Amino acid sequence: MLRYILVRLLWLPLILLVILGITTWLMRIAPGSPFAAEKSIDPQIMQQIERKWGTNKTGWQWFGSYLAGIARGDLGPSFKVQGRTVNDLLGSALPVSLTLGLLALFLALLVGVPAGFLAGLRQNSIWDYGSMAIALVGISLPAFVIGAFLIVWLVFHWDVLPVGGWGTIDKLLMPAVTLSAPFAAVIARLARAGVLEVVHEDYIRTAKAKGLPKGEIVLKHLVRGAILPVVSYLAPAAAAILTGSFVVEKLFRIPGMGMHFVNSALNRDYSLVLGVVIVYATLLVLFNLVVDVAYGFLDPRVRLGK
Amino acid sequence: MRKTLLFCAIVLTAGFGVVAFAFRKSAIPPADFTFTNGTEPKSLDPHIMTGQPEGRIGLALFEGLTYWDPETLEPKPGMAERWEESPDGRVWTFHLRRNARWSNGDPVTARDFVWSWQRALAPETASEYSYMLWDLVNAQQFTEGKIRDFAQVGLAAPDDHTLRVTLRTRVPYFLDLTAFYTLCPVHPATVEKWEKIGTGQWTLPGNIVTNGPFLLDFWVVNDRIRLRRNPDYWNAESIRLEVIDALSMDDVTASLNFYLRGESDWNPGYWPASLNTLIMDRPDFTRTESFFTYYYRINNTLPQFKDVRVRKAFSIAIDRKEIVENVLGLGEKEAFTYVPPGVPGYESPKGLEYDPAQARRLLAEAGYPGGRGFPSVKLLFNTHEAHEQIATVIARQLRENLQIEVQPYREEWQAYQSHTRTLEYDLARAGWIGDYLDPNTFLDMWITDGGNNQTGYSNPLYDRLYRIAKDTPLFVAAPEEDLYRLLVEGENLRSLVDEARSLPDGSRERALAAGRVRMLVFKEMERLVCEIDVPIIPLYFYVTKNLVKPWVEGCHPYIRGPNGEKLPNVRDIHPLRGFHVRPH
Amino acid sequence: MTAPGAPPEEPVKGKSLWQDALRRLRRNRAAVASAVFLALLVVACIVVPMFVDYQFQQTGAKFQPPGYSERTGKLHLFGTDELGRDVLARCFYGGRISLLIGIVATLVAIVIGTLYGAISGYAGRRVDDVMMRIVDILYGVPYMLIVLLIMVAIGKRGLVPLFGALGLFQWLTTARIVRGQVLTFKNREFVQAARTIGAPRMRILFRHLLPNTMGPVIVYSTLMVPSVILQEAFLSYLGLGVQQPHTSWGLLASDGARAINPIETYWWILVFPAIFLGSTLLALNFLGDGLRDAFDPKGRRA
Repeated sequence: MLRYILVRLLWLPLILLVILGITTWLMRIAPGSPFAAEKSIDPQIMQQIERKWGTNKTGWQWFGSYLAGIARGDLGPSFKVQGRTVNDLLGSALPVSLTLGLLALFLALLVGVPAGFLAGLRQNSIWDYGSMAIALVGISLPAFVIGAFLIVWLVFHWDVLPVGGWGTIDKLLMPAVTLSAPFAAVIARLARAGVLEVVHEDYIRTAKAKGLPKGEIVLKHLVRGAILPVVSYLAPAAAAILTGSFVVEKLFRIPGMGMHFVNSALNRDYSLVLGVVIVYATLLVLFNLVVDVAYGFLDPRVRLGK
Repeated sequence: MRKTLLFCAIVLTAGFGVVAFAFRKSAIPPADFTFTNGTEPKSLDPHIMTGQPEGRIGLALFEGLTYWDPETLEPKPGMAERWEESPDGRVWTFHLRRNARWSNGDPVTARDFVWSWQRALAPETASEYSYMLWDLVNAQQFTEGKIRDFAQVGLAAPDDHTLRVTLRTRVPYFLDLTAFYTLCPVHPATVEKWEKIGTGQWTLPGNIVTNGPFLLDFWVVNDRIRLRRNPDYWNAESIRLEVIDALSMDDVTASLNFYLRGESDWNPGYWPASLNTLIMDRPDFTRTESFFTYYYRINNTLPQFKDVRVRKAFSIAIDRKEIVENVLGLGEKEAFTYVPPGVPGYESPKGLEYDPAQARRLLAEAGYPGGRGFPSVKLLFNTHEAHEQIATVIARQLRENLQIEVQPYREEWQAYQSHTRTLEYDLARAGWIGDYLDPNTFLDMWITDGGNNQTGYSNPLYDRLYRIAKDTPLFVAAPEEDLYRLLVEGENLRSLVDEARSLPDGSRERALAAGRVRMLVFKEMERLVCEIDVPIIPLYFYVTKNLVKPWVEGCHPYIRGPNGEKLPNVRDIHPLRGFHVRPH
Repeated sequence: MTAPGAPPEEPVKGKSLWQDALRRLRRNRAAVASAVFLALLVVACIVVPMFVDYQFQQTGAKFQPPGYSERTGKLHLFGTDELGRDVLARCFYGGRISLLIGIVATLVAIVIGTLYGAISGYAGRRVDDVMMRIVDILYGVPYMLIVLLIMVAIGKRGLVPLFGALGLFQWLTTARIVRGQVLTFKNREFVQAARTIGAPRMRILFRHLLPNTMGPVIVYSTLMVPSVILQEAFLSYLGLGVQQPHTSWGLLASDGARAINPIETYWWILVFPAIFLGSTLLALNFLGDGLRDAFDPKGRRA
C-alpha cells in the first residue's frame, strides 16, 4: 500500500514537467506580452522591462530558471499584479476556492446520490425520469445561465440572499449551489448505474423472486452499489470543481483561483498561469491517489499495488 | 456498510471543518463608503499606474504639488503652498508647505519631488505616463536615454522647500498636470528599500509610505482595497469619510448588481452597454460629454487602402447617427473629427459628413465600382459586447452602402493589441482618452512612426506641423514660406505668426499669441487627419456615465467653471477626497 | 484501473447483440422520446433557417418582446435581441453551429481515441504499457485550462481550431474503452481464425476487432456531445468561442445572461437559447443513459 502511494507520488514531478512545458510553450506562442500596455511603449524601454523580469530569455532558458525557482519553492513574481508574488496570490486564493469547492461537492453528493438511488430502484418509471431530469438540468445548462437565474430570483425577486462577494456563509450558498449543479447530475447518473448493477445481481433477483421484502442486507448492497462508482468520480470531480469555478467566481465576485487562472491567461501573466497550473495538476493527481486508496478501502475486490 | 458510512462521515466532517475554518474570523466591519472600481488595479505605484481604477486610488493615497478641487477640478495648493510663474510661463517656482508629512512622519521635501520626477522619467522605470513630464526642458531626451545627466533636465531644488521647474515653452495646462498622479512624489527611502527585494513590493500594505488624504488599510486581490482617512494629512479636517472600500470587479453584470443591491454606493459606468437605455431613465444616473473618442483605424499600408478615395468612401459610408441612437443611446455625439469638443481656445475643423452616394462615387473612381473587386474586409475589435454590436452594425452599413463584404472579427485584448501594433488588420476598433485638455494629447499620435499611430499613416506635412506646434511655439524662428501655401488656413496662420513675432520676446503677450498660433496649427493637423488624408474613421465621442446613490455627495458630472458657470466634467475625474455620505 | 472482465457467457452474435440492445432501448420511454426530439431538432436546425424570411444578421428594432412587433411590422415569435435581430432565427442558426461543434469535436475524439486504444491494446506488452502511461499522465492535465490556453495561443479563430481544441483531450476515455474491448476480443476464436488464415494485422484490427468495440464507444460518445457543447458555451462566455457571422447557443445564452437584470428583464434573449441548449443537452444525456442501459444491461462500465 505504502509503496503504491510512493510510486504514484513519484509520477507527480514528471506529470508537472510535461504540463508546465506545454503551458510555457503555449504562452510563448500566444500573441501579446505581459507588459503590453494600452499606450505603446518605446522598444528600448520594453527591452529594459523584459530584462528586469527575465522574459527576454529564450523559452528554454526561462523555463530552466523557472524550474530552478520551483525547486526553491518560489513560483516567481506576478507580472501583472505588481508587488505580489505568485505564492502570495495563490496562498490567498486557494483556500477560497477550496472552501467553495468542498461545499459544492457536498451539495452535489447530497442531491446526486439520493436522486440516482431513487432512479435506479425504479428504473424506467416516472420516478426514474423525473429525478434524473431534475438532476440532469445541471449538465444541460451552463453555470452562467443557472447563476443568472438564481441571482434574479433569490436576490432580486425574493430578496433572501446577498448578491455576492466573500466573507460570510450566506454569501457562499448561491455560488456553491451553482457550482454543484453539474456535479450533482453526474453523481446522480453514476449512482443510478451503480444501483442498477446491484439490482441485476443474481442474489438480489433471487431475493426479489422469493418475494422477500427489501431487507437491511439488500439495502446495504444497494447503498454500496450507489456509492462506489461515485467515489471513483470524486477525484476528477474535485479537480474539475476547482478548475470549473471561474464562471461562478466571476458571476458572484469571489476572489478565488478561477479568477486568477482566466485573467492570468488573458493577461499573459506567465508565472501566474504556471502557478495555477501547478496547483491544479497537483490537486488532480493527489485527489486521484486519495480516491484510489479510498476505493481500495471500500471495495475489498480491488487490490492496490499489484 | 459501516465502512461506507464512516468514510462519508470523515469526508463530511473534514469539509465542514474547512468551511468553518475559512470563516473563523468574523466579517470585516463595513466601510462608510463603498464603490465599484472596475478591474483589479495593476499597481499602486503612482509612476507605474495607468487607467481610471488605479487613478482613483492613486490620488487618494498621494498628493502632488497641487490637487484637483473636487467641485471645480482647478488645481489647488497641495504639497506646494504657493507658486510663481515667470511672465512667459516657462519658469515655475513652487514653495512647499512646511507641515506636509509622509505617513511615516518624514517631511515632504523638494528633494523628494526631484527624486520622484527623475524616477518617473528614468527609462528603467518604464513609466507609461512619463511623457506627462516631457514639457520640462530636456525631459524627453532623458527618458529616451539621449541625456544621462539629470542635472540638464529643467528641474531643481534650491532648498528643501523650493522647487524650480523650467519648461520648454509656456504650457497653459501645466499647473493642471501637477495634480496628476504621475507627478506625485513617492518616499525615496521606502521605494529604494523595497525595490531591491522586488518590483512593486513597496506598494503593499504595511510597506507603503504615502502623503495623501487617505492611507492604505488593506488590499485583497480581486476583492477590495480599503482606504482609511489619514489623520496626519495637512488638510485632514477637509476629509469627511473615515473608511472607503474600492471593490475590484471585472464583470459588468456583477458590478451593476452590487450597485442595485446597495452593496456599492457609486458605480462609475460599469454595467452592460445593452442596458444603457434602461439605466438612463433612473434618477440616480448622471452623464456628461467626455474627452474620449471612439474611432476605427484603417490599415493605410494595405494596397486597397493606399488610395485616399477608398478611405474617404469608408468614412462617409458609415451612418454614425444609427450607432449613437440605436446601439449606444446615452446621448453620445457623432464624431466627424478626432479631438472631442471642450478644449478652451480650440475649434476643430468640420470633418466629413455621412454621404453614401458620394462614397459610392469615390469607390468607383478608385476602381471598385459597386464594390466589385474589393477584397473582403476584416473588422478587428477586442472582446466587449458594445464593440461587437457597433462592429456588427457598421459591417452591415458598409455592406449596404458600398457592397463590400465586411467581417467583424473578435479577439481578446492581448491578441487584438498585438495585431493592431503589427498592422495585421484591415480595420480595427480603437479609442483614445485625452490626458489633459489640449489637442496635443490627441494629435501627437499621427506623426510618422508614432508609437500610437498603428495605422501606417505618414504625411511629411503633418510631421512638420507637429514640430512647429511642439518645438517652436514661441516662434523665435518663423515657419518656412511654402508651409502657408500648403494649408487651408495658411494666410490666417501667417498673420498670427507675424503678430506673435512683433511682440517683445519673453513677454506674456507673445506667449499668448504663440498659443493661438499653436491652436491653429493643431486645427490644420486635425484637418489632415479627418478631411484630407483620412487615416482613421472617427465614430463618436463617449459620454461619462455614473450611477450614484442619493445619499452620496462628491460625484460631480458638472463642475464649476472659473466664472461660476457649469462645465461638463469631461475627464470624468471624481477625487475621493471630495466624497461625503449623508446619513441614510 | 481494473481490467474489464468480460463475462464469458456473453455470446458473440454480432447482429443479435444490436437487436437486443434496440429492444431494450425501445422499452426506455425517455430515451425514445429524446431520440425523436433530437431527430426533429436536427431537421429543424437545418430546415428552419432556409424558410425564415428575415436573415439572422438583419438588424432592426431592438429588444422587441416575443410576438408581433409594431415597430418592425413583423412577427418575432421569440422577440429580438440588442441589435434587433430575430431571436428565433438566431436560435436555429446557433443550433447548427452548436450541434456541429458537438458532433465534429466528438468525432475527432473518437477517431484519435479509437486508433490510440486499438493500437495500444492490440500491440500489447511494452507498447501498451507506455501508451497507457501517457494516457494516465494526460489524465492529470487540467484540460479545460489547456483548451483555454490553446484558444488564446492560436489567436486566429475559426471553427476548425475550436473543433480541434475541444476534441483534443476528450479521446482519453475513448482510448481506454477501446483498449479494454480490444484486449477482451483479441484472443477470441474469430480473431484467432483470421490470424491462422494469414490475414494481415491491420486487417484483423480494422475488420474484426474495431467493429466489436463500437457499441461502448457510441454510448460514450452520446454523452460526450453534450459536454463538448457545454464547453463551447464556456469558451463563448469568455469571448473565445465562435466568431461572427456564426453564433452558437452558448454565445446566445451568454449574451442573454448579461441582459438579465433586475431593472427590466429582457428574459427572452436568455430563456429561448437556454431552452434550446438545455433541452438538447437533456435529450442527449437521456439518450446516452438509455443507450448505456441498453448495451450494457448489467450497468457495467467498460
